Amino acid sequence: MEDTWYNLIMEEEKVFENVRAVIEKSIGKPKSEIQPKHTLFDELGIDSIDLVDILFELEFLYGVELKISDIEKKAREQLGDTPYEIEGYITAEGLQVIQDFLPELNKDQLKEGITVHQLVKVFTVQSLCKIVIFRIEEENAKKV
Amino acid sequence: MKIVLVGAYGYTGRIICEMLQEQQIRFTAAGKDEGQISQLLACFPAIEATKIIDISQPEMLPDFIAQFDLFINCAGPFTEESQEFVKAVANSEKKYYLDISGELNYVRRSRENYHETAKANQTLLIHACAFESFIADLGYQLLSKGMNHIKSIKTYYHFEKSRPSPGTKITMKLSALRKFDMIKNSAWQVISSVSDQETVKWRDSEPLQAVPYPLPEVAFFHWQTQAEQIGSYMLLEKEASLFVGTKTPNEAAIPEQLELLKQRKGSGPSAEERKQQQSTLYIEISGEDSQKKRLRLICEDMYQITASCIGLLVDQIRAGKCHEKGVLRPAVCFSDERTVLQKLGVEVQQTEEIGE
Repeated sequence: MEDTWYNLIMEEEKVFENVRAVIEKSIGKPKSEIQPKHTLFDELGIDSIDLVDILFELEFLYGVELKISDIEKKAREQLGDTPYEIEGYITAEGLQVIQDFLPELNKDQLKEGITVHQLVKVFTVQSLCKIVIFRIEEENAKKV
Repeated sequence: MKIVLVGAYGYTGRIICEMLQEQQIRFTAAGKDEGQISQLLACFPAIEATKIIDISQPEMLPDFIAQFDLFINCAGPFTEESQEFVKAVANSEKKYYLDISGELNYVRRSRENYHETAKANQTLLIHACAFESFIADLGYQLLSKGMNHIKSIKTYYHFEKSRPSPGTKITMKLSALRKFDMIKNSAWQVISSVSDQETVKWRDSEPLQAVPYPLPEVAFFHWQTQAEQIGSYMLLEKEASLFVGTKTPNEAAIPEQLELLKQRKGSGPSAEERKQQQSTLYIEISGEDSQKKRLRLICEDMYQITASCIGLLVDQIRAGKCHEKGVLRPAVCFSDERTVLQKLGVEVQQTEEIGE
C-alpha cells in the first residue's frame, strides 16, 4: 500500500516536471516561476493558442489525447445518472466531485452558481497534471 | 529555369528539399545561416549551389534576384522577414515567386501594393502555397461551381494530433499580438477573436467553438467574389476557447516577442509523427437563395501536403501553364480541383446541400 502511494507521488512529481517544462517552453516563463497552484488563465496568462500548443506537446510526450474538458468528462462518469450541470450551472453534486478530484482549487471560487465554463478558468497547473495522469490511467486500464 | 529555395534549412524548407530531390529538380539552397546551408549540401545532391542571403536587407536583393527565375520562399514569419523581398521581386521582370505564408495581412498588403506592378512586369507572385489556404482555395473553387451571388464563405479548421512545426508555432503565437480584419458587410473590418466567435455544429459531431483566425484564403475569396461575409476560423472545444483573448493585440511588442520565440524554438514533428497528423477543413458557402453548401476535406501529414503544393505549382510554372501574372491565388493555376486535391492526398469526404 505504502509502495503504491510512493509510486503515485513520484508519478505526480514526474508529470509536474514535464508539464512545467512544456509550459516554460510554450510561454517563456522560467520553470521556477511556475508552481502547481498557479491558475493557467489568470496567473500564467495562457491563451488558447498556448493551450493548444501545450496540449499537443503533452499528447506527444505521453501518447494520449488530452482535452481540457477531460475533468468534466470524469465528473460526469462518476456521477452516473445524477446531473453534473443544469443549464450550464454545476450542481452541488457536481461541485462535490470536482472538489474531491481537484482539492487544490480555490474554494471561494468553487461554489454554487459557478458555470461549467467558469470552472475552466480556475484550473491550475496541478489540475492540468491531474488531467494528464487521469488520461494515462484511463489508457492503461484499456490495455489491461 | 533557375530555381532557388529561400529558408531551405527550416522545418518545411527541408521537406521541400526532399520533394525537389525526389522530382529530380536541381535548385539553389539559400538562407541566412552559412553553417546550416552547407549542411544541406551533404544531404541533398539535387542542390546545385548555395547562397547566403538575408532577404530582409533590401541592398542584397537586386543582385540575388537577377540570378534566378523562380523563388520558393519559406522564410517566415513573412510579415517581418519577407516584405522587402516581395517588393523587389514584384519590381523585377518575368520572375516567379511562391511562398508558404499563412499570414492574412501580409498576403492582403502584397496584392494591394504590388499586383499592378507585378502584372506590368510579367511577374507572378503566389502566396500561401501551403496546407491551409491552397487547400481552401481549391475546395472553394470546387464547391462554388454553378453557384451565383455567393453571400458568405467560411473556412473552419479542426486539428487533431497535429503538433505544429517551430515556424508555424511562431506564426500562431504572433497572431495573438496582431490586429486583423476579415470581410463583413462586403468590406474589410476589424475582427475580435472573442466577440466574433461562433458555435458550429456539423451533422455528426459535437458543437465546437469557431474562433476567428486570420488565414490568407480570406483575401483569396475577396479577390474573386463580392461575398458580404468571409472568414476563417479554428475549431476549439468550448473550454479551450475560453482561453482566447488573454493577450491584447500589440504590434509594437512583436519584434521582441519574435526574438524570444526564436530562442525557444524546439523541434517539429518527426516524419513518423507527421503520418499520424489529422486535420479537417470544413468550407461552407451560402448563396442569395439561402442555399448552403458544405465540403469536408480530410488531411494527414500537413507539412508533406505543403511540400506537394509547392511541387505541383513548380510543375505548372515549368510547363508554362500559369499564364496570368500579378499577385494571385494558388488555385488559379489549376482547373481540375478534384484531381489536384487527390494528388495532394486530401480526401474530399462529404458535401452537404442544405436549403433553409
